Amino acid sequence: MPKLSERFHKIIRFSFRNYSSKTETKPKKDVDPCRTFKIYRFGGILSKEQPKIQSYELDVSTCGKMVLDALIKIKDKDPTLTFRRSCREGICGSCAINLQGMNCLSCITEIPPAKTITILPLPHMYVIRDLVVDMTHFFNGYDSIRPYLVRKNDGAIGKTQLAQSIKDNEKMVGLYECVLCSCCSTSCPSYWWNGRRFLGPATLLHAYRWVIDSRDDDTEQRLYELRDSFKAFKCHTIMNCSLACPKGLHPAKAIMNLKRLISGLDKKPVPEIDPGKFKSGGDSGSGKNKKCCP
Amino acid sequence: MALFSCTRLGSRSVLASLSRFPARLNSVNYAQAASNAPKITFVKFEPPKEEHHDVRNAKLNRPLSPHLTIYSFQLTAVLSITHRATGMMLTTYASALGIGALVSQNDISHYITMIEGLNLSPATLFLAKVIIAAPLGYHFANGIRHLYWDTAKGLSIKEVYSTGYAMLGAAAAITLFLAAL
Repeated sequence: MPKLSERFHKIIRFSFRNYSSKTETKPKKDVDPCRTFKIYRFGGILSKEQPKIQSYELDVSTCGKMVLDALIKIKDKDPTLTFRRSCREGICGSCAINLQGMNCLSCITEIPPAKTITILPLPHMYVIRDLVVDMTHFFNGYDSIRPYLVRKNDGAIGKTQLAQSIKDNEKMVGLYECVLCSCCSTSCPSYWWNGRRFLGPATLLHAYRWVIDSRDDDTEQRLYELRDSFKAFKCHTIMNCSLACPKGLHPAKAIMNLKRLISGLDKKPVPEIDPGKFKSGGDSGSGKNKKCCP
Repeated sequence: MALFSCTRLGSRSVLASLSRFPARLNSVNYAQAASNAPKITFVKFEPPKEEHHDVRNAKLNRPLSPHLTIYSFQLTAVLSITHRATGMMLTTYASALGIGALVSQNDISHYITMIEGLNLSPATLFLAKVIIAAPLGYHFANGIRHLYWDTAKGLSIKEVYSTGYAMLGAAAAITLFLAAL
């Protein structure tokens, strides 16, 4: 049984953003708080105007330190600026933008110490208005991998608890935290060029999450559905995805493991505990014979 | 009684029940037109047509957000595209050698004698050999890195960067070795 502190550290590690090595070694220099924000503007299809970059001056000492705070402050001055946001804590995945050339969530990314800050919508997506993009095909791809538990021989899911050992549960750490912000998928050049048939890192991360879930019975069918040259194998390990993930997850590693499972090089391990362990034989769940603690 | 009438109105539109009697409907239409009431027509439900994402967005004339021109270059992506580019160069080498052998009248030793006849300095010759061997060295070293990744090892960001730099060193070493032959 791994120590509680070890498991805690493993989970904490995934909360940190993966930065590329160059930004970590630069010493902090004082930048003037009056910054210029260059933001992509597009008035929508009815406005008949071309997309352009508009500059805004903002004193960042008057707003919170996250990019979303700056965007809201700019919106106070120019109410026509449009962007998505919801939870302001990096859990909903709505506020994904392209900041200084890298995708991130604006609510958990600090305003970088630069004089000019460029904010663009997610790359290679159809722009509805300003920073809001059309995510339809991204979510359709996610739905296509059947992101739900499939049990073969249980009468009705939800009647009894499914058992899972701690080790099997830890296999999903780093996979279930994905918030579907699409920072990774929209940073992948392969998804830019083949986005309609290639599923993209986020969807493949979730596909892997359902494949290695020890409680799921439909592994063979899931892997069979991914067996073509586009859905999973258009990943060329460019690895932009793992650099872009704002939650610190690792889609590239998950995709490589998934590819090995699809091609048959690896086999999904047998669950350590039988998931149907708590099903009392012959009892349809009246509750009388159910043990609350195993 | 009044309450009963109200619930009847709420559960089904009065006019909907009227539409089951066509003769009555015509007179209702005239009455509606006369009284300037909003005209309600009933159309059978048609589910929305499924359109391809690109077709739908093209019809809507939505612009595509910038991608290649704005995305910052990371070591990972640069090494990956160079791997593809060097692969294409090696393909052209192989095709040139193959097709050249097919169509040229002379043996390759003829062309080598021609190059020797140019009397280039050893430095220029070495430089030329480095330029020709560079794609091979790079593609070979990065190829080994890709095969290492296929074993699902070395995929953490730190390892990708460190193996990347190591690979560049190895590529340079292989290139210099081949050029010195």
